[in-house]
Amino acid sequence: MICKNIRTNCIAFSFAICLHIAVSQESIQQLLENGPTEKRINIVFLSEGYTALQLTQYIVDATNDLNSFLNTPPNSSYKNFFNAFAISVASTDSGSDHPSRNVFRNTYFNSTFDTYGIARLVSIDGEGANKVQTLLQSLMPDYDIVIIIVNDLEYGGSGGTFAITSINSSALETVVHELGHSFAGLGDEYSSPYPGYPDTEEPNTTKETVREKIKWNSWISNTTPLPTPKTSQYGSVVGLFEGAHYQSSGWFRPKLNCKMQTLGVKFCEVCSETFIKSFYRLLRPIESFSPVNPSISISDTQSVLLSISNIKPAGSGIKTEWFIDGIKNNGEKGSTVSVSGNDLGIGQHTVYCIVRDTTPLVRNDPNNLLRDSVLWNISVSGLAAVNNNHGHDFPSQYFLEQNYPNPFNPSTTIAFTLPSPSFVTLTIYDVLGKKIETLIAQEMSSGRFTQTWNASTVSGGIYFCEFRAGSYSNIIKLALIK
Amino acid sequence: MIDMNKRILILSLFLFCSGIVYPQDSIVFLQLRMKNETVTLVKTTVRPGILKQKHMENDQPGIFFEVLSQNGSLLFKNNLKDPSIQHLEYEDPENPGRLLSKDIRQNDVEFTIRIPYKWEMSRVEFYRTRFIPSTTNRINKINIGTADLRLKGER
Repeated sequence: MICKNIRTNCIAFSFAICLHIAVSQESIQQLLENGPTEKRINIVFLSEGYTALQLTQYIVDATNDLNSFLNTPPNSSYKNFFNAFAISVASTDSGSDHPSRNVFRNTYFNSTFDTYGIARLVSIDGEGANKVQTLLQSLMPDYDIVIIIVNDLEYGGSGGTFAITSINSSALETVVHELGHSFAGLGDEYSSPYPGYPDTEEPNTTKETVREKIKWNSWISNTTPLPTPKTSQYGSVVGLFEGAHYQSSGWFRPKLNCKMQTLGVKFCEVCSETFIKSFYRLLRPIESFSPVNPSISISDTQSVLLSISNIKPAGSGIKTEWFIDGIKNNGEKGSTVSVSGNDLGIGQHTVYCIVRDTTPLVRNDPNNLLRDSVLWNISVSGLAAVNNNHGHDFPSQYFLEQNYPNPFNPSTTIAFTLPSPSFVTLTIYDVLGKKIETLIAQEMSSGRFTQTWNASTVSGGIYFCEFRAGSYSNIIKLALIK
Repeated sequence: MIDMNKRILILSLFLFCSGIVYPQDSIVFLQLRMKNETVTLVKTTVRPGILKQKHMENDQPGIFFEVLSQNGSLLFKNNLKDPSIQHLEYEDPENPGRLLSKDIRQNDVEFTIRIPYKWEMSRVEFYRTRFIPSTTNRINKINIGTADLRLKGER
């Protein structure tokens, strides 16, 4: 069994290496950076039907699409939740296939209009989808949203695993609607028949007509009649409008019109709320906190600085509350609080921090997606009983922090902490396990240290930083983008 | 004279077979095939990265999968829309803004899922899920395949 596993893994690893070599001609460029990839929603664009000479224009098109997407409410209030990247691959020909006009182009993903006889339906075949996967696996494995931009002025696009849009100025509307399905789990609000569609409600569709039981009831005014007449009088309010989920009767939607029904209009309040909750399904309100160890020991002559960091949405408030031994600390509303052993007194104590996004765009959050918390247990001892390595001045454990910025070009900073003097090595490896550079190999005193890696002499890609100190070791991933 | 790529390949394979491991922060890409309601594994690729895990994901009809350890412990679960059905939407050329849709059903389709790498992962079980009529939030699960995931783990 062990031999079989090794053989299997050798094959897999060989494939990974071939993959790396095969795609080494393609490039990735970061269009928007708001934080590490693991702490942001990563949008990835791919070029289709752009010749090598047109790839500069592709970056312009991707940037324009990105701005249109981010300026669409509610995304506009959460722009800093996103990173964006553009993967550039050149096609032999410009444009895309139009079989109905007998136009065929030699393009990288082999995209085509006229899919299943529908002129505006743009798709890629299985081979093209495999190429997309290969590129994503090599260049941006932690993608969240993938959009293929087809260099063709004709209006067209489609949804699915990868959203596809042409460069026609109206085409991105289809993509944004499709992301309502694939990213936010929203349902269609139009009534065109779809025989056999599952009888399952989505956040914006329901069969329920009892006011108190309607899932978006908190958005409905008591004066709004239910079901709500489909007249202009009720065009701007949330109610219960019949016709949704591919049914003209028996199914209801929240608003007379919404982007999940008609392209070119805004998302309604209920769909916007669902989008925001989807952001928080991926990203928690507290990004990081310090100390990372929830158990802290200090003496009655020491203090400890507790801190949290969070993403701050534009236009809505983030409320931070601190509780010490269950009592709200009204004086502390920021991201840090200093507590002293003397103030706490000898014994066991708790410090609790709650962070909430208080946006008025969300009224229903039964799963507390917009709320996050962290709890520290602090043990305060008399001076003689305390190890001096704990507390304000000394870290309590070995720790390697994620480098920042990441992705980066050409230099990045790596920070680590040592609770006691240790022999430290900090080494950079590439994805093939080849040592690139030894940044540190020396005895160091306790404390927190930072080390800069200047990667200007190596090619772009994924690298690993291995940290060893005493018996502790850890590895972080670094993404160099050139 | 062995060129540099071959040297790296030989060195990498040697190191890998000698116990070089995937970093804990890795993503496993499973290329799968669904044919006649049965899911089989086509290819496995492991890449560095951190896969975000969705909080409070609701059950939905479609395909549900569980990543299990050798002793059956649940390590990860997720669901996805039925890959054998392509639901395609497009704007009605006669009525700007109005959407139309078309379903394409395929009996033989390949698709890819991502799972966070865990050294103890052993297999993935796939289920067809359907809501039980006249009940609320109850689903019926039918096993439609298993993929062996015995990748080399951390030592």
